[in-house]
Amino acid sequence: MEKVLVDLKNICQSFGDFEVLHDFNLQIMENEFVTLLGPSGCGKTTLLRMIGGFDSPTSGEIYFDGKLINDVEPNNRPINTVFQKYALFTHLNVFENVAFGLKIKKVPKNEIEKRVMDALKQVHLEEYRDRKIDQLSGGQQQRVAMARAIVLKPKLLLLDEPLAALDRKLRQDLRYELKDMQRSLGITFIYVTHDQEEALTMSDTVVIMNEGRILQIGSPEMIYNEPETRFVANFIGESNIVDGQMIKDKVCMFEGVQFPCTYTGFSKNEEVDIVIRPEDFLIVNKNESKLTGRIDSKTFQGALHEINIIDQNGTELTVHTTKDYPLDLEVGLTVDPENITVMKKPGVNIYTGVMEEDGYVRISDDILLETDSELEEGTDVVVRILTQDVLLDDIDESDFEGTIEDIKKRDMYYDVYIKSGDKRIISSTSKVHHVGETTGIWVKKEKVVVNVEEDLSNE
Amino acid sequence: MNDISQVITQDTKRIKKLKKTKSFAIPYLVWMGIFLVVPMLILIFLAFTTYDFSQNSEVHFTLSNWAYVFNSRYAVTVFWPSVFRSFYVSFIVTLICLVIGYPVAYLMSKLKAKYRALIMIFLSLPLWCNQVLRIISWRTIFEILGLNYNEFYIFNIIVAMVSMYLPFMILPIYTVLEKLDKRVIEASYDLGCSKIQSFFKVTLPLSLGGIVSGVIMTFLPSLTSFEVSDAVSYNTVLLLGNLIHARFHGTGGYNIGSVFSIITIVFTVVGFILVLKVDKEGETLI
Repeated sequence: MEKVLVDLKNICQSFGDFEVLHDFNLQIMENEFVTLLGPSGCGKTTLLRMIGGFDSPTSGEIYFDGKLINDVEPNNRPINTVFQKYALFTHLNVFENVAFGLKIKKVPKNEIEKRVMDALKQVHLEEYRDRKIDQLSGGQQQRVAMARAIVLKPKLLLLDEPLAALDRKLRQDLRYELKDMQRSLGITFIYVTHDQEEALTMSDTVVIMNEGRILQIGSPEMIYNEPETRFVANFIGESNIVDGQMIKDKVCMFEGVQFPCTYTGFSKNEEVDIVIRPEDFLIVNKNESKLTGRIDSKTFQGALHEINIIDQNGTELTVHTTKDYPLDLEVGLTVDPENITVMKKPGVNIYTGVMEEDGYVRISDDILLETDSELEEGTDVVVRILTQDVLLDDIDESDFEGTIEDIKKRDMYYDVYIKSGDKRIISSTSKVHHVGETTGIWVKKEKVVVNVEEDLSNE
Repeated sequence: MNDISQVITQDTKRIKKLKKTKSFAIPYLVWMGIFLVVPMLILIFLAFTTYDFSQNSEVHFTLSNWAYVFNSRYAVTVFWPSVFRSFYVSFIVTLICLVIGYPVAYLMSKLKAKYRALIMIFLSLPLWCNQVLRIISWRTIFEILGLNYNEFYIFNIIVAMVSMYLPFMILPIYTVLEKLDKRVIEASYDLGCSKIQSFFKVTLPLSLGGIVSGVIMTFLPSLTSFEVSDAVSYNTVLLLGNLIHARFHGTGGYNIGSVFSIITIVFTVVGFILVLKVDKEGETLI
């Protein structure tokens, strides 16, 4: 069977008060091309640096090939890195750069010559062996960085946004070269990028991250076709995300129109998010669909037309077609059942409360939370906190405490039901907790959403 | 296409801007002309003639000034031994500055910004105090320590010069080390280097430009310094600078003094050519 090469267990990392990685668990198989994808600041580079040995986690374990490597220095790890902006040695020429690691390992001279030339051949730079680094283009420097890493035949290659500094055309060419290289060398690649196109075209597995957590793991097809959260759907390609309901199994409703879909297991009339890719909408005659709209604007994008349609409810929908339509045309829209993705709405805790001094809000006798709100003291408010933003921690680190009453397993996480005084709060977490445990609870102040009570009726 | 035309328009804009601001350089160019080029011409003129300012004598072309410096009893017994002594002292001073200065620069580049600033203050604080005063205080220190005797003079000169020129060694090295991309160092670890290997194979070669600048910045001033030896050795140890100083300070020695100066300038120019060979962009020169 497939062998686990890298095993990350409960990795946490904080810089001061800022939590970069939150209880992170991930297994990477041998010969896998794994991409860590996420916006900047999501913790992906930090994670890569930990595997490389340049940072250590605040807590948690890193296993490589079955061995704990938390305390192994980077020079003793059979792992090599292709750094962002390449980090080449400018005092050495191309050949010497690639030979650097072999010389350190005291490989015999004739073998160095052979291996370096093989590596340079692999990246099509044999003729540049005597060039200085500053005489190379960006793309060539990137290839030298690759050659310098693969010449050591590591079991694992880490790549930190290696194509980010190159122009578009070159980036596309190099993607295929990288993928080919990974296959032919049989090396496991962990690739960090914020470019979703790169992630989808090259990887076997994509790990989508945000704010130090995994949002979804899966093959590129799975991630693209079945995003589990609004964030993933938005981050991977363009999407139309609209509010909807599950009327019953295999029937959903959005924009006031019922559509057949493939999803089951939701409760009756459950509020959901509906995701439809622009290319999955089909434009038909106005009388052939109940969902109709007017073409508001369009742009020609080479292979396709991007058309913005304002539908009967005034919602803007984006459609990609190969055919051109005139502006202001009234059209109908249909979508195949298998192209409708239904997502659970993130859980939310709702309370009533009263504002106190300095932006604090009182929810109960025990619960006083800091917020960003500038509302006046004494204002009656409604407080909303997403279950995923309720963090469980040591009691002394936290805002208040509670007892765990129940735990429900979801796909990627647990919903933990906690009683604190006379209030209940739900936390969605990937960490394992136990019923009956007392836990500290805290919420970042920017995650506490406060609305004046009258506002609610307008929604 | 679009990108290229954009770059071109940006460039033309930059050139236009350059033309506008060019006139700001004129005062400095005038200054350079008056106080650098003209004195040089006067030096050359004096070195090849018998002209004496104080007596406003007739001008005769001669090579005798040069003959005196290269072929005379004075040359053999005083001038060239002093030149040799100057090189010897400067070499030792530079070496000590490098050995002490590099680790300080390295440490500084690793420290947090606020500690870095603190060391920077320590380094520059002595420079706020008058140089002559600092030299005289060294003389007092040596007197207190009982080192004001003949056999200690060279040692005293070296100690005082090191204290004088150390910042000029540290600063250029620090500038280079501070700019060094941390990822390049990490890359060396990644490729199997221990910390020590990484230092000698990557950090040191990449900071060579700073070292050369630092060496020039300490070597040249020590070569031409006269105040230190003047004060610390009670003008008994003669260095190149003392000889030049003596010629121009008294009367009638301008012609020979000019030859001394030209020889010193030749040393300096050779030094700078060496710097430019190593450090092509001149980024480490302050």
